[in-house]
Amino acid sequence: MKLKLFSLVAIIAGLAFGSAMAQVGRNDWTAVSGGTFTVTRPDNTTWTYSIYYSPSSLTRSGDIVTFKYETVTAGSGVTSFYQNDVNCVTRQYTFAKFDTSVTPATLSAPSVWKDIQPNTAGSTLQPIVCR
Amino acid sequence: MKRYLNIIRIDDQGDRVLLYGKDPDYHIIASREDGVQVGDEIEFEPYGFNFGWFKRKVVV
Repeated sequence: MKLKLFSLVAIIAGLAFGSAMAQVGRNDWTAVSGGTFTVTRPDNTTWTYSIYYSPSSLTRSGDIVTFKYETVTAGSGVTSFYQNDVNCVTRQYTFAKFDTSVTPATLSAPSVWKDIQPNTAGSTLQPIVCR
Repeated sequence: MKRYLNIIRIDDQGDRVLLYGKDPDYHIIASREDGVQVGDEIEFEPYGFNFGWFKRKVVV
């Protein structure tokens, strides 16, 4: 009985996660080479996350490339979805996050333009989306 | 997408400071000249999975 209940919960959780992925991207989430980061907290413990991007989400308008990506935290498996605009000439970007707690997922208003920071999802994805 | 944070720790990185609230996995980038101190409440704007940029100190 417990096994059946566990299986049911796992199936429902899997469907919910799959639904979030499907409504944000087109299920072509692609691992990014060099896209796994280990971050050191102030207390010197660490945590790790990986980024994946959706090639089919990529659109271009002049120097501006828009694309979607997700981050997955190691261990917890917490997944979040984002959309960036990158100016391939100035190496600046805007940032927006998807709220996947609602259906369909909604995108926050984009931030203002900022320089891409080193060792971030933006710095890793910029060479890929701008090539 | 403005948010607010109470600062409980500041890491001085020389050219800039990193501001932390209760969540050690999230930091805010600010310059020294912004003059943020522990105990300040700030407004920031998210710019990535685990970081944001300082906008202003909230004056109570």
